[in-house]
Amino acid sequence: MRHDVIVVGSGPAGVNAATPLVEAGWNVALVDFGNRETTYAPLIPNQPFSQLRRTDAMQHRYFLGDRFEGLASGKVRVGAQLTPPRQYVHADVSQWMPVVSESFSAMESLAQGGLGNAWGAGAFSFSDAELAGAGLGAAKMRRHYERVAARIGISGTRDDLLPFFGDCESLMPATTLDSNAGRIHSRYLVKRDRFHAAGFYLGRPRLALCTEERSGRGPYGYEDMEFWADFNRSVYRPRWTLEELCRRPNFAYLDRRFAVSFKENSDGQVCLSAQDADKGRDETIDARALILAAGTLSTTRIVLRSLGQYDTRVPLVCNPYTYVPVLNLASFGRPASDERCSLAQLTSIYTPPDGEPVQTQFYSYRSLLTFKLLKEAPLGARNALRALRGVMNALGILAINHADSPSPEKSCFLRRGGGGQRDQLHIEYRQNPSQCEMQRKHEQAILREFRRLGCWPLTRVRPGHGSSIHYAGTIPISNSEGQLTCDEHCRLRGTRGVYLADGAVFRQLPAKGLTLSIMANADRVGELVGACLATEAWRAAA
Amino acid sequence: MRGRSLPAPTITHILTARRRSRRVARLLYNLYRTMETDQHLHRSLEQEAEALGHYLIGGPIPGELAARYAEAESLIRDRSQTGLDRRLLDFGVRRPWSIAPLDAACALLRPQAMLRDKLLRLAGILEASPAGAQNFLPESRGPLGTLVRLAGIAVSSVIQLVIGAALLKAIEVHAGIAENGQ
Repeated sequence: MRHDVIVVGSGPAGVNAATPLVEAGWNVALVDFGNRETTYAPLIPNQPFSQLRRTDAMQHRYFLGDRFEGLASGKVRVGAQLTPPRQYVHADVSQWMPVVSESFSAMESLAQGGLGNAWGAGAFSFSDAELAGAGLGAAKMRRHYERVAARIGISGTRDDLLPFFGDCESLMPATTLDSNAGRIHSRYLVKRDRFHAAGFYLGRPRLALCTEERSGRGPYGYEDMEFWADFNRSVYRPRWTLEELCRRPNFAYLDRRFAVSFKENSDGQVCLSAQDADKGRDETIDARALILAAGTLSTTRIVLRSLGQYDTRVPLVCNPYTYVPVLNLASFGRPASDERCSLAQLTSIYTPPDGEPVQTQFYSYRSLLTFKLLKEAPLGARNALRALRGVMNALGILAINHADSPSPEKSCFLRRGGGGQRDQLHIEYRQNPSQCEMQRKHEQAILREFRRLGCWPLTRVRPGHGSSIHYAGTIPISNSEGQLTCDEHCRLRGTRGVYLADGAVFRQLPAKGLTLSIMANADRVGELVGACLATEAWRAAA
Repeated sequence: MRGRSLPAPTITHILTARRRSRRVARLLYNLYRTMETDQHLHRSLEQEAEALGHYLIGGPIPGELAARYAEAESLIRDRSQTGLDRRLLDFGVRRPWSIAPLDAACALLRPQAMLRDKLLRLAGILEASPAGAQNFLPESRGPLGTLVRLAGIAVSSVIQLVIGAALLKAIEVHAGIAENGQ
C-alpha cells in the first residue's frame, strides 16, 4: 500500500491524529515500537479488588509480579505508581532512549498505546486563556475537544467546575462518589459560598471513563482495579482506537519499528528512517506527510536528530507536582462503601489572587496494597500496619499540579552517541526560587481549604521534577519564524510536510493534565494534514 | 561391528580418560555443593520469614508463604547490605522478641536498614495471599474505638523505640569493635 501519511507513535496523540485521516479516506501507516503485555492480563479475574484479595490464590502473580517487581523498595521515583501488570509501559526505554539528567526523572514509553496505558484518565479541557498560553487558538480547538470526547467517552458532572472545564455535549454521568470523598463533598456543599469567596471550587473530575455502554465499552463495573487491569474497557486507552483503526483497509500498523529520523526528498515525499526493534535492520518508509506523535521527548529526539541539531538547547516545561496524604476526619473509624473506583474522586480548582489557577485531585487510598505505605510511617511495621488498618477508610491523597512556563533553567539537548551508543537526551530542569515560593504559598492555601473540609495533611511529598509526566514545550508553536518551532498548524518550520501532534508544541502548561488537549490538538492536526493533502491533490488534478 | 575386536588402550588413552573422569567428578561435586548451599540458603530464608512473619501478624505464617519469601529474597538479592545490617537481622532472627523494638528503632533512626526492607517485602508477600490479606484489610471500630487503638499503638511504639534504640546502639558498638578487631 502506498502511504499518504506516516504517523509515529500509537499513544493518545498518534491514534487521534490518525483517526480523522483514516476517516477521510487517506492511506495512513502508523509506525510504532509496540511493546505489549501478555503475561498478567489473562491472570486477572474480572472481580472487585476487595474480593480478589480475599479469594484469589494466584493474586501474588499480578499484585507482586513473577519476578517480584512489585516488591521493589527504595526512594519514591517516577513510575513508582506502575503496578507489575503496567510495568511494560516503560520497558526497553532506557536502552533505546537514554536520558541523562541529575535534576529530572523522565518517563517514556515504547508500549502499544504509549503512556496512555498508565493514564489516570483525567480529561480536562483548557480554558480559552490557557489555550492561548499554550499557543493554540481557542475557537479552533473547541470542535476537536467535542470530537475527541465523543470518541473516547468522558464522564463527569456539570457542577461548580463547569466554568473551568467548559461544557461537553457527550458527557456521561459521573461515577458514584465513594463514602470518603462523599463526606468531603457534602461538607463543601454546606459552606460553598465561603469556599468560593476564598477562590476555592470543588467538583467531580472529568474522566475518560464510560459509565454507560458506548461502542462496546463500559458500563463501568466499580471493580476498583484501574491500577491493574482494563475490565470492560471502561477506561479509555489509545489501544481501543488503534484496534478500530486496524479494521480499516486504508490503515497499516507497522509495529516493532523504532523511528529514528526523517528527511524530505526533492519530489515532495517525506522519508522516515526506522530501525527494526528485533533485528536492528534499518528501513525507510515514504509518504506525502509525516506526523510525529511519539511523545514530547521522543519527538524532540527525532526532530533534533533529523535536522542535525545536536547540542542545541530547546526549552522544556513540565507541571511541578506535589502529593499530600490526608486524613479525612469525617471518615475516621467509619466503614467505607465497597462500590468504588480507583480514579480521582474529586477535583478542586484554587484561583489565587496572584497567579494562575491550581488544580488538585483527590483520591481515596484503597486500590493499592497496604504494605507500600508501611515504609512511610515512622513506626515499626507491625504498629504501622495496625494504625493503617484503623485509618485506611479515612485516608486520601491530594495530587497538586502547578502551572509551568519556559525559562532558561529548563531545557534539553541531544548529544550524539559515540561508538555505537544511542544518542542521549540531556535534560536540565531547575525552578527559580520565586516559582518555588509561589507554589509553596498556593499549596498552603489549598491545604487550608481542605482542612476546612475536614482533611488533615499528614506530610507533603515532592517526588521530584518530571514526576507529573506532563512534558511539553520543546518545539513550541510560535508566531515568529524561529528555528525549531512550529507554525499555527503544528507544521515544523523549515519543512513542507512534517507535523508535530504531541505535547512538544504546547508553549506552556496550565495546572491541569494535558492529555485531553493533546488528543484534541492531534485530531486538529490530522484534519489539517488531510485538508492540505486534498488541496495538493486538487491542485495536481487542476 | 560383530567379529571386530577393539584396539588395546594405550597409556595416553588411560590418562585422558582419568583426567576426564576427574573433571566430571569435580563438576558433579561443585554442583552438589551449590545445590547444598542453595538449599541451606533457602532454609535459612524460610526461618527468617517465620521469625519476621510471626512479628508482623502475631502468629505463624503458612509454609507456602515462607517459601515464596525465600524465593523473592533469592531473586532480589540486596547488594547494598552492610555488616551492621547483617548483624541486626541475625540478632532479630535468633531472638524473635527483639524484632519489634529493633524495627521501631530502625523506622526512626535507620529507615534504610535491611531489616526494614525485608519486613516490607514479607508484608507484601503476606498481603498478596487470601490467608494473609485478612491482616491487611481496613478495620472500622468506630471513631472512639479507633482513637483508643491509636493511643495504644502510640504508647507501645514509644516503649519499643526506647528499648530498640538501646539495642541498636549496643549492636552498632559491638559491630564496630568486631570490625576494628579484624
